[in-house]
Amino acid sequence: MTEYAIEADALGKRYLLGEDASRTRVRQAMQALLPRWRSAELQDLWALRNASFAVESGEAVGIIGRNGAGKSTLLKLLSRITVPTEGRARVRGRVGTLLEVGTGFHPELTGRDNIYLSGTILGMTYREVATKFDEIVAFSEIEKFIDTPVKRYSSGMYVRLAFAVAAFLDPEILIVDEVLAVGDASFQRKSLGRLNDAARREGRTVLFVSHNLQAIRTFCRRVLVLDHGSLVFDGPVDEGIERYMRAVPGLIDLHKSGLKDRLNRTSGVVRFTAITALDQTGRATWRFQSGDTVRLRFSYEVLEPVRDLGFLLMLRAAMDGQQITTIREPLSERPQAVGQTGTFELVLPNIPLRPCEVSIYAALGYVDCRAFYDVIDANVDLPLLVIGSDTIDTYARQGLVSLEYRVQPVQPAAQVQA
Amino acid sequence: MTAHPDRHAGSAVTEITSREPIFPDLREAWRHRQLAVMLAQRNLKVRYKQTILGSAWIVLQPLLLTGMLTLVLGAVLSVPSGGLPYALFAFTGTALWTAFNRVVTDTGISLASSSNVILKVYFPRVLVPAAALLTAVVDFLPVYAMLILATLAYGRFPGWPILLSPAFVFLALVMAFAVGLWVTMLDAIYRDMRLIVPSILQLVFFVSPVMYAETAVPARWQMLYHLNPLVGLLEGFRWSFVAGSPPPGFISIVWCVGLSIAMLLAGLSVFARLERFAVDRI
Repeated sequence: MTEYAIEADALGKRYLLGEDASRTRVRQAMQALLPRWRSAELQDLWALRNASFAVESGEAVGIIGRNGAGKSTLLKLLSRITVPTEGRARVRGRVGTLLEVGTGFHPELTGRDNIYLSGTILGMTYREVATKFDEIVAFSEIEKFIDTPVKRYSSGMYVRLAFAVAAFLDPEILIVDEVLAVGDASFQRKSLGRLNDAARREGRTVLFVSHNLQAIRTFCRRVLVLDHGSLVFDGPVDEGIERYMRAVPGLIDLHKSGLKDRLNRTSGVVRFTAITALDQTGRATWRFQSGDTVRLRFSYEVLEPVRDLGFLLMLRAAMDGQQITTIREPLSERPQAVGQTGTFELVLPNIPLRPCEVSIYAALGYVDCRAFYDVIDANVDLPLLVIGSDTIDTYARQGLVSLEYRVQPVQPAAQVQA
Repeated sequence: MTAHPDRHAGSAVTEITSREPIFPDLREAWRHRQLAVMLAQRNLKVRYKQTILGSAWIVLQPLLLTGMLTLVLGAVLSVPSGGLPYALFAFTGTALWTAFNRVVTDTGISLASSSNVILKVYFPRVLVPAAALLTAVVDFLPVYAMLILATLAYGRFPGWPILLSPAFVFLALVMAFAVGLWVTMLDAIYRDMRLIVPSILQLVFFVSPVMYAETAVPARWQMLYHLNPLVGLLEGFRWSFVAGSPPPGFISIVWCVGLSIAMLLAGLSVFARLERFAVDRI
């Protein structure tokens, strides 16, 4: 009989939101004295509540849900980074946690030192790291720079080294959060391959949070769907993804969504405020059939004056990040005044994509797209465009696009002379 | 349905509950002790990056303080030094004081300054301040060597009592570590701590016999003065290092040892109770 690797029983975690709780009293006093003193209201937030499930050993379970649904909280509870407010869980075996790439890396230290440091922090013994050291270096492909401080690395090298350390962890339970969202397409393929090995070939128990539904489909048979801190589905992958997709709202309000993440990357002087996908009839949906007309409607707001405005859209295959197409379009050559808002629609007639999931990367920037004011993608919770197909053609699932083609008969007389 | 042997067979079970432990799991911490060593190594390697004098600063800090004290207090003001050469008197004092000061400060900010790691992976949290302590122990070794050279240079080598000197260093560091545990917990919750602590340490510096001999304190204050555990520790440390300094009183040593142990236990307990709370706040 297989025993459970993880058993969660009514797990819940409450966070205090808003400012420092320690300042509440000071704030209350200030508010009483100065009515205009504004402060964030202090409130509780149940990041996760009443989550019960069990995972058998050797099982790979995907966890999906929108940002703020409680995915990361669940992972943090199970990996003991934070402690539940209520409920309990039993975890059997050594847990390896990968919530980011490069945990414990120190920029001043060399690649070599960082392998040892990060490896130990992630739970390996010094001896284990020493035994695997050569393999780790080989996997990272940065042999030449192993004695260079990592602050001199390119971001690609950094990510490769960091992931290499993680790839050689030897836990019974592997807890992985969206770490694969970094790096280029080839890195993502490599890291997904490694994860697949861990789950399938090595029989580790894997809990995997990702926006990459295709990846989840590839190596999980079971999925947990979280929504606003509740576990709303626990079952087969396809059904779970279906349920998750159904819950995605037609119109994504971007006023608050992922603002911190966006402002980290760009200036935010012009911002997207909403995005909707519409079908031919004007119905909001994120699911289409091959050949449907897809309308993407974007709204934006100007927060600081800019001299012109351009738009960039990149469509990528969700599975491996491969670019399908990039569209660059000037929106306005003229200066944009503060407070100005706008909405535009990008129409993709008869979309020639084969059944797949497409991630959207959209940006507002200079008219020539040399620099961006705002960037939105899966990190701010943009849903995927799901392209399906009714055709019985078994090849319809191979490849990304359907090129227009025809076959024409050729008369013998017209054959090219040898 | 998996073709693999159960990887979890015989694995230890971890219970995750909201129960508050009253003491850190020291056995678990001991199993992960290599991590404390790695973290201490990192601290040492990183600290003096991009400085010209590098690790020489470890000895330079107490030496500079000694130099200043000797110049101002020893030469100009003729502060009493219990019959010892003032420079030697001040050096023994500042050496121990600098170590104490550093352990309180470093363990005090250790948790908050490791937040990037603490929020991403679990390991016994007590290893973070422990690494700060370990760093300080390593830091003390060259200072220790300098002290021995200094006593030899002044012809004041104490003989056998020097064998007891590590015990006094140990007690001082344990006490500093215990204080640091309190500070690191409070610091994670109220950042005011890191602003108050330097002032408190300054006060402790003045009420400890670092730059003046304890004989300078009037007799009626002596009892109160000796409540400061650093008084006994500094007396003992000097006695173990410099021939001609008076031995520490028995009662004051018992007081120091008892207080160190009590503070350590209390510090660890506070750490265990508040650790989880602090993690959500840093």
